[in-house]
Amino acid sequence: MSKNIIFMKKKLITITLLIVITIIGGFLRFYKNTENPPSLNGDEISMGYDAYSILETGRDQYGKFMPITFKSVGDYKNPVPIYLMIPAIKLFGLNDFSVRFQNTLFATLMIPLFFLFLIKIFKDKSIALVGTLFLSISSWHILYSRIEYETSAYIFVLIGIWSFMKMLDGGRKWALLSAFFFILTMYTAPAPRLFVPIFVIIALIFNFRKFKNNWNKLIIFLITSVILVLPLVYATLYQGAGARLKMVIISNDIEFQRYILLKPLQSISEAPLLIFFWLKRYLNYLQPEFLFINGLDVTLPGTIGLGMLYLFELPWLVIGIAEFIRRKIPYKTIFIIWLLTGIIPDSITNNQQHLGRLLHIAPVIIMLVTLGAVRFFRWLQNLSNLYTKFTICLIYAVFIIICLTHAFLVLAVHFPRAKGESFDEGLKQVALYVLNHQDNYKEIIIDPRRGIEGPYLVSNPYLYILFYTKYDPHIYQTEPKVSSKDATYFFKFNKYTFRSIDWRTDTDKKGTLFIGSPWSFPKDGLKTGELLEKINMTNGYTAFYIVAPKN
Amino acid sequence: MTNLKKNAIFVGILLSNIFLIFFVRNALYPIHYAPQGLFFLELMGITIHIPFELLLLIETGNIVLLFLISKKLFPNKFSLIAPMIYAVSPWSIYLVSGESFYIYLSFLIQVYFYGLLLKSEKKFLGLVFITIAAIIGAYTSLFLLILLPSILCLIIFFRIYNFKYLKLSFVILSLSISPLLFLILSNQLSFKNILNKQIQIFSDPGLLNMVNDFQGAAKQENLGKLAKISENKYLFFSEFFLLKMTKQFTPSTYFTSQEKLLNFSFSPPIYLGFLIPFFFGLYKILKSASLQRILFLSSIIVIPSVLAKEAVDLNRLILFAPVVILLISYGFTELIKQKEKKVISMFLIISISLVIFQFLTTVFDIQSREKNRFIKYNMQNYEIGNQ
Repeated sequence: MSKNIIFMKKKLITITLLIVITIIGGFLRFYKNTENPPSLNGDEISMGYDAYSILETGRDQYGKFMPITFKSVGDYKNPVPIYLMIPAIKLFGLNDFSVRFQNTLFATLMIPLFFLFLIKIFKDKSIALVGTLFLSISSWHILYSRIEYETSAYIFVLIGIWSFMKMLDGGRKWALLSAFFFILTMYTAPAPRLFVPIFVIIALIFNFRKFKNNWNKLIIFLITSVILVLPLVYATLYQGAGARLKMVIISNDIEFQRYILLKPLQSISEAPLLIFFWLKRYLNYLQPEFLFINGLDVTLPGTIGLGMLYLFELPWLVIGIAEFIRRKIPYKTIFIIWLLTGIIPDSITNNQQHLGRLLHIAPVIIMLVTLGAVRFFRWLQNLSNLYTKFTICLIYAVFIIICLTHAFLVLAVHFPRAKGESFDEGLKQVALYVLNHQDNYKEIIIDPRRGIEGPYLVSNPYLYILFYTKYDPHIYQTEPKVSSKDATYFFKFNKYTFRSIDWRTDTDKKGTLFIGSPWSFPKDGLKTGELLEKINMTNGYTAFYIVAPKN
Repeated sequence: MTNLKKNAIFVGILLSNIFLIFFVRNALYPIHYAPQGLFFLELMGITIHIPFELLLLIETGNIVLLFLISKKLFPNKFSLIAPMIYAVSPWSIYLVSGESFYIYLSFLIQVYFYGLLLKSEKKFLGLVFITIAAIIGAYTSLFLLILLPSILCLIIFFRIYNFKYLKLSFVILSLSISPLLFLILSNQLSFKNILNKQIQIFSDPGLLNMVNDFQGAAKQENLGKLAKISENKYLFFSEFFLLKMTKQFTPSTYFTSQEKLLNFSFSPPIYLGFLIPFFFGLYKILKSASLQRILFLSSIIVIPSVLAKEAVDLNRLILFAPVVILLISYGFTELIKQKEKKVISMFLIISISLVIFQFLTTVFDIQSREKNRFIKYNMQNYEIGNQ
């Protein structure tokens, strides 16, 4: 009887702790998530309007009925996050919160799910709780939870891999579940599209023996996967969804073309260099500055920002790897394959390393840190000298507090200042100004080029206008539009025109509202009263001038 | 393998190294590192540089020493692995071609370690090597003046050797170094200049700018006090130092062109295929406490690279190259011993194939692109001989 009470008490404590950790995690993800990151970025705004369009008309912004891939701004976005956004838009209306809501919710749900995963693997509550706590306070996970960043895919990956592990030992239902979640992941985020097939093939090769007496589950797994993936394959081959892969493939990398091959890749004989360039990229994921200093890319280059993990987790990661090697852990090979193949999708792209595209390996990384931390705590617990124990605890606690304080300052203060432009900060204010004043003008011209010092970026302001004016999707899908197909950006619908501003000719256009970066207008050439408003970013720089020419 | 056959292979290794050095030297423009003189002569204001021909000889000595060390560490039939890896890896080939002073320092460090190995066998010759290497090292480089005695102290601290056997070495070393200390005291200005030239880690103005920017931004949000606690120059410098230290032990530093040889090359310091035996060696070492201690001890050789201006200075880090190569050889030895296992033999095949593939690719790349790459990185066209 007393044993039962103790067991129940322990269980209650564990559940209470898990609830507390989840609440902390939820708070860190939901608190002011519409203000920081400072604005909806181009992807979020496009997804948001597509979801709104589907909700209102059943079609995307291009008028396509319930698409499998969303053309968006030509990058063919994944369907699941957009469809998942619809209930939130229905509930909260078309606004910043509803766009980010489903992502933040899924990211928060990942916390208790990760607890269940760890407890199933290790059968150890302390490991599961410590791991859950690390996930809940991980700056890596927090950042991508606060943006619409397909975090649901990473829940599906976790469930998919868990089911895959169970399939190796269990029955057919796990084969079905695993295939379903794996393929669902591929419909949710771009990185898993490559990760899932590579992971599955290698994991099957290494575990082939386990199917010897039960081929049925392997057949079920494969058939389900093939059936579910067919629409995606069709969309990739015939509906342009493969365009994104062509755009981002590593052979187009600037460093490779300019400094390694010294020209664009033209023949197969040059492929060996590409292979070694890719391998170099792959190993770069083990660079300490990427892992601990600025992998998250939330501060200006050359500064100490945040990485995949906090600096205080460095020793734990090292101990964790050693512990992982030494200890008997179920499905060890699966974890190794998960980690090693998980890096591949991001490493073969031509962009800089991106922690967002590595979120599917977060459970393994955090598991390694957890193993190290638990080992460290147990070693500390066993120290006989109280004085030594206290000193180590104190030093480490101070170190943790300093790291977390720095992380808080980076995310709360430095990040919005450094990355406002990447989030198209200012375009929301532009759209709201247009919404309130558009009746006074016969035409509104917005320059899509932006950048504090010069025209380095091209944004899609038309999406912000559509989103914040809640432009009727029925009208938008059917009304005539004019757009240029060449390199000069020109797009026009209704009274809105999106093109470069040339003040030498545009100054004569009365009754027109012009919006552009300060350098879109002559430095001292604006007459008094022409400049109606300046829109500043968090870092104090002016993002846009709103100008109306006068007689 | 007979001794004759083995010696013939070893001579072949030496010749291939010399061939590769001339191959690289001919393929590139005659660029070289800023010349560095001997420490005690620089203190007196005299500059004598080590000529290329002598460096070539020293490089041969490096390979011979690695062979001798391998013989002590591994079973006889595996002793050629380490010199072979060293001889064909672009790292030392590029540095010799660029006339790096650190090739010479690497030689002294290897003599020192060879002495330590002999000493562990209670051979008097070991003591002689330790003492000679430490004295010459101290007179030729500020780093070795600090590093080599420190290694000795650590060896005693960790009780790898008994102090009583090293007493004599300590006495001779102290007596021999005392004139150098006198020279330092009497030429303090020169010493300061040498110190500034060698230790560049503190001369980065970016760190202070970052602290000011961060604290200013936090102050505007009324979080100035928090920033003072967690974003001050002492903490950031410690983090920066820790980062630099960690970078010295990152695989991509050694096995990819992440850090560029001679600041422009795409050739990796060590071929990527060797990464598999490297990890296997490391994995095996994790299971042996005494080997872990030795590895930890030898890791202090990375300090000169940590003190450099760049995150990693491959020129200075060459001092650590023998340790990495010995670790790879250890991994290789263990892999070969277990080659009956299917997975292990698969790893061996992948490793060797990758090394051969990358070797051929690199040789072709050096011949066809390295010169143009150098021009591109340096943004100008250097004419041979007009540099």
